[in-house]
Amino acid sequence: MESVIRPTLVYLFVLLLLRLTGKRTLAQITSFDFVLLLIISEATQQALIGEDNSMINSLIVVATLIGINILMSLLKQRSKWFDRLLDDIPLVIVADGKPLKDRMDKARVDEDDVLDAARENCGLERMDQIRHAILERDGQISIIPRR
Amino acid sequence: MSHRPIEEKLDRQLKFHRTEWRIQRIGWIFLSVFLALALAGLFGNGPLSHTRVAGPQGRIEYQRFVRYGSPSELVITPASGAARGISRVEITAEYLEGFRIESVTPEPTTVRMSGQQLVYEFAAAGAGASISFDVDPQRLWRHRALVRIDGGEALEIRQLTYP
Repeated sequence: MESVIRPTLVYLFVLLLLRLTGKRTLAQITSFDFVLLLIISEATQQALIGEDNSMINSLIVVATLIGINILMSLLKQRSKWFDRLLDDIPLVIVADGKPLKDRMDKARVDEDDVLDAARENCGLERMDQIRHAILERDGQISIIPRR
Repeated sequence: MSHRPIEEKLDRQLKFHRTEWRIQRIGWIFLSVFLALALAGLFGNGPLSHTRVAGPQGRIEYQRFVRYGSPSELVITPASGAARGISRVEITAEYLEGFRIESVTPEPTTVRMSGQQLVYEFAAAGAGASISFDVDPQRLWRHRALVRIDGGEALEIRQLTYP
């Protein structure tokens, strides 16, 4: 019983925290994100396993985590509201070459991030070459170049 | 253009996908059954696992399903009508083949072997005071033992240790 309840609580808690920190958090694995990921997994390990080092316990924990993941994907598919709740919706941050400052501030993205994505994905170098930039749900910025 | 190899190939792949999806759905059913059983306690720690055997002298509560590497407990409580606590517990020595007894609370005054019995004697305790044995499963699969409380009838405990 415990072996199912523990991972469920940890999953929901980590999900809530990551959702609160915003989408950019683990979008690109920078070296600090990598460290953060390691620390989180290290810290949650104790809560997941407790004192129970048996094989059956780890099997149940893994099965529970996979099970919640499948369940979440089914719920997201069935309910738009749930999908938004868990995965957010995309946000336009540059429209017609004009950066939308207030949106970018709220989403904690700046022009450098946009130009970064523009260079990486489209080989663009200036803001006026960008038609639209969109902050996607996974935290990536996609660029639509001006023709 | 009667042959359209690409489409034919993709159709074949679609068949593969259909099979794959079906197997996934079946897998999900197995997964949810497995998790439901785990919640119920078939693999330890849950309503299905928690067991008690009772005799006139008292009752023993324990987990029917235990896990290797995960401590468990055996709690012996005197019968509710008893005027005083338990003074003697006898466990058949075969119990030690499957479990290591880590500690006993309260501490027994003496522990000795008498024939095939492990005998624990306790100082007089108040009515209703229970005794708990912290045990650690040492060997997989099935184990049974007989426990006698205050020289009463033998109560049988059966446990199964998962890896």
